[in-house]
Amino acid sequence: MGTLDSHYDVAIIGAGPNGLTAACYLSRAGAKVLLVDRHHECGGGLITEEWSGFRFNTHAKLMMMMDVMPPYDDLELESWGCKYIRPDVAAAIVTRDGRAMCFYADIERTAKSIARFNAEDAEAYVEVMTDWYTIVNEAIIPATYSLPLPLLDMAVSYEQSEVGSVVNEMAEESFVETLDAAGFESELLKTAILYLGTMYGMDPEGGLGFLLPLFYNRLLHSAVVRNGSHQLAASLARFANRNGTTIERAAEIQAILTDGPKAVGIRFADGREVRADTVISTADPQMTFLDLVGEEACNQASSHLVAQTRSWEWESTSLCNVHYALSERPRLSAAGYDPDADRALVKIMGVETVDGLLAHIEATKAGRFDTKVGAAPVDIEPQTAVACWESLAPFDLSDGSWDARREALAGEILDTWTEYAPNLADATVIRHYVNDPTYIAAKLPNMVRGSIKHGAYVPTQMLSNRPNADCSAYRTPIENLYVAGASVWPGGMVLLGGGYNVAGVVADDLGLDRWWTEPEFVTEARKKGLVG
Amino acid sequence: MSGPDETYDVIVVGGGINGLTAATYLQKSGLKVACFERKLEAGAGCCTEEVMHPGVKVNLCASNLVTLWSPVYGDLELEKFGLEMLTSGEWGMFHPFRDRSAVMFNSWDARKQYEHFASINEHDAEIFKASYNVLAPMMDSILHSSQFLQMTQGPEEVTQEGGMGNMLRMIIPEIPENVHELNAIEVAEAVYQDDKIRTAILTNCIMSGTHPWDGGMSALLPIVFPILQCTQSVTWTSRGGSHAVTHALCSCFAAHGGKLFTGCPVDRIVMEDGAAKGVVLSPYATFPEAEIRASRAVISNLSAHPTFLDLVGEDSLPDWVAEGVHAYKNDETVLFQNYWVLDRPPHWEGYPEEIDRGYGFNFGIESLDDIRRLRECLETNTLPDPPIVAGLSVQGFALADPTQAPAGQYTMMSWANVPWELPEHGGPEKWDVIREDYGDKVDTLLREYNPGLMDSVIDRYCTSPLDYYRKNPSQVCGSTTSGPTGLRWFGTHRPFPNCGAPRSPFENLYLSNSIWPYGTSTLGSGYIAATIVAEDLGVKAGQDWWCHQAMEAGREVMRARGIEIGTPIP
Repeated sequence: MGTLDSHYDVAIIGAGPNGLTAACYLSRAGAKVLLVDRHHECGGGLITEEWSGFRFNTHAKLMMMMDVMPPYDDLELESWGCKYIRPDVAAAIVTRDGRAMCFYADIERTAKSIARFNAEDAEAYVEVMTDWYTIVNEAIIPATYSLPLPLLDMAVSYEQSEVGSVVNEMAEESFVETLDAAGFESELLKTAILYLGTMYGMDPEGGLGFLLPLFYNRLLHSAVVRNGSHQLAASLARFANRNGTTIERAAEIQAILTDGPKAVGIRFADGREVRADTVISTADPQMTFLDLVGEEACNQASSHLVAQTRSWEWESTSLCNVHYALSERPRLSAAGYDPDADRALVKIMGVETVDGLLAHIEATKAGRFDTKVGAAPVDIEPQTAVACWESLAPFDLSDGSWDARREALAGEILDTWTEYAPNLADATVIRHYVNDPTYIAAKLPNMVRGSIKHGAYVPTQMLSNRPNADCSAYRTPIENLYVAGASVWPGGMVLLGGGYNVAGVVADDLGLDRWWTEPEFVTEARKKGLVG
Repeated sequence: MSGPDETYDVIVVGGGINGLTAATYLQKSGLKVACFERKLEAGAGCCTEEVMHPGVKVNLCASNLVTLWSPVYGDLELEKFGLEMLTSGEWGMFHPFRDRSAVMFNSWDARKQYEHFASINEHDAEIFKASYNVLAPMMDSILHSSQFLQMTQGPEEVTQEGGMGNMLRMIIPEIPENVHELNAIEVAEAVYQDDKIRTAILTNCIMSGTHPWDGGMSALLPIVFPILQCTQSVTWTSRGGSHAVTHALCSCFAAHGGKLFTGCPVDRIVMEDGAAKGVVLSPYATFPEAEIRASRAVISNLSAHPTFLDLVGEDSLPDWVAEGVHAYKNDETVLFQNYWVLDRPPHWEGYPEEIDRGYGFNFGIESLDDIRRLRECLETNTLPDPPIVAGLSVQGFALADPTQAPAGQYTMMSWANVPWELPEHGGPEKWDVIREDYGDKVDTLLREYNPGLMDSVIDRYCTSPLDYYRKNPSQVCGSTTSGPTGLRWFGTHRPFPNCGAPRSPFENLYLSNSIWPYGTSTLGSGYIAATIVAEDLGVKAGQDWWCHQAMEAGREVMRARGIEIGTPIP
């Protein structure tokens, strides 16, 4: 333990992507910031591990917003050692008979690959995607880096523009309905779009249909961080550090100290106490309010905070990742059909129809883990031969436990991989690592039940309802306490939105200089009434 | 701008603990220093990673920290920068035998060591007492001069010298007159009566990186080793795992204004007119292909092979340097690690109860015959089967520091001594193929000693010498000691004769690794590199913080626990 001062302007709980981002902006604005994390290393889910010289991103892999997130430029992250790489082939869906449909950020290029399967869909794709890209670029990305409009205001305000009214319509639809409305015929195309939309646990039959274009579009724009996801955290930590943030690692927080309805500091598990004018928690709402603040203090501030928090809904599915260090890179047989398949950042395997995908998701919710369906986010580092597998997984298995199943899984999934990349049959597996839902939950305690986004994306927990109507503008009913983790708008997935947005709110409340300028896309969206 | 500046006074290549030590001393002495580390985290062998069950901290390489021996501990205020040293119990090392007996080594209390030996063999206990009472008062200065001063002797000098042997023979007549011609096995046989005591002590010599079949310096180790154990207190971990040493060094370096750049492999040392002038980073570095100048010195913390062959470039080496580097190759023992997670504290059913809280042990060496078998295996490049685990096993990590495992879980590791080459399997690349099988053999062997312990294992992670090498290519042939440790490479002959290490044959280029003393967590080679560079650059004078002696920190930490180590045995 290092030596801490007795008082800070801002104490931030959790040095994940959002905590780090908030620390960067606020310390650069002149605040004296203390950033605390229970792990020895910063980054939360931004984990890069190394086994036998092979690097693996064992949790966060694909960065959906790297090319648009304001912190990347505001904080000059490249100069602090974070550089993202966007491969030109974003995704491929690979069939059992050795073909592949490939997907690119570029609409026309994707249409060409679709045309090999269905010429009419290729034409329709250009039209539909022009609309989808517009709503993502003009409404949803700007909303990610600004305060959410209260839901009622949003409904009214969004009707003022064409883009907004499309989002309003979609908000009522399920992913499946939004996809149906696009009118594609090719099962493979529809499956790929829905797979990309749901691979991080979105419910295909719940509402929030506008998230389908968002996830689809942003996964086609997704990047990986050179030298590993952790480099994003490391670059943020360096920026924060050089701007005076004190980072206290390997330190568990026991309580957020309150004085009446006000937060006044934090207490560590080892008994040390630090005072702070402002406390920002990036933990999930149950940990923040029930464990750290405590029910009594919550009740003093709000009559319904405790009840609201108790009803927080975790995700119904989690993820299972399997990582292999290999003597050679996997080579898809589908690369014979389309060489781009081998270079795709995400390779979808084991599912070729929408019904098949829906059945897979239903089975997962029912506790079954299917080793035949998954996606392989490729490692595009040039130095090493690794393979990865990522698929939806239940936290509770209906038959047996993850502990009992873990070891055998590596072999079963390698068999699936080998069906698509036969050269793996002769490769030596130098290491494998299975990061199942119970491991995720154990390593990252805010990912309760393997909830990778700190809580489900359902209408009652999104937009200005995330985590609840009283806290979604990052302020909470407890004075001086703010929330900013994945359980707050715009959610998880390493968008850095929560940290970015809370920094603006806290800077305003503390009268600090907002040294950064609002991105143009937000200003434009504001003119149209699309952001708060 | 946040990347590296164009020029620093000193550039350190490699952020292992010795590189960080050298970097920090020089930065603190007023120079402007940058350190470039290939990996995303500094620390090299001083690493702790969650590679198996969540919450299980795995000390993949450095496992027994002797950082308390080091003057660095006080000079760089490592405690203030977060380092907290912990140990599990006073019986630091133990050596179990299949018949449920054990020879134990006390880390704190020489009198208890004497009584323990006496319970096995009174004659051998008297040998220990007599030599202890003479040597104990000298141990700190022996330690300081052997670990923290530039070595002035090579293998010839130490083998010719009667020195300490002659002195000890005055009180221990069993020491043969020709002691300087004998090896450690022969000395142990001459001096001790009990075969278990001999075996346990010689195994500890192997563990400490010396070869009991070598003569010279290590011939007297059978006498010195038990004294070293209880005067220097050798068995420690740090809170959070071995990586905590790295963290403390990094924090100290940063606090004094040093710049550490991780994810920055160095491709080349810029040589101009035979002098080191800077470095060029790799295309994969965080700052790709950047050239950074060093106006006064470049210190390589890589081992000799990558430093000279890759970074300076084999083509620019004089013949004698190239020959020296090529000869500096680990043809001896390297280590194979098993790391286990247990679901209950380690317990040794049927053995003396003290060892349940012992820190470390060795097993699979029942007699001197097993030591001879190890020698033969290493000479013939055969894999010992059954394994010989004389490289140190540790059960004390989570006993000493509960943060290294989740509640109710404990960790344990072992290092079996193995050769690097695997000719009978088709070469060292076959380590990937046989790794888990060999790990099973180690499990089976330990089960013979303690079936209950193995029943409590819930997960295992094995690291082969090839894994060590791939993880850190500076660990040539999987060496955990930055190169071979035999007598041939003693002192001034490390890494090769006439190198002048930590100076190198090239102007402005220094070595802080692959020099005497070989890689341990004493931080000795980093300290010596700092000393020589600071003297050469004229910045050493007036650094009044640079004043601590070997073992000062260890004594203070023990005193805080109410223990005075090194007091005479009545």
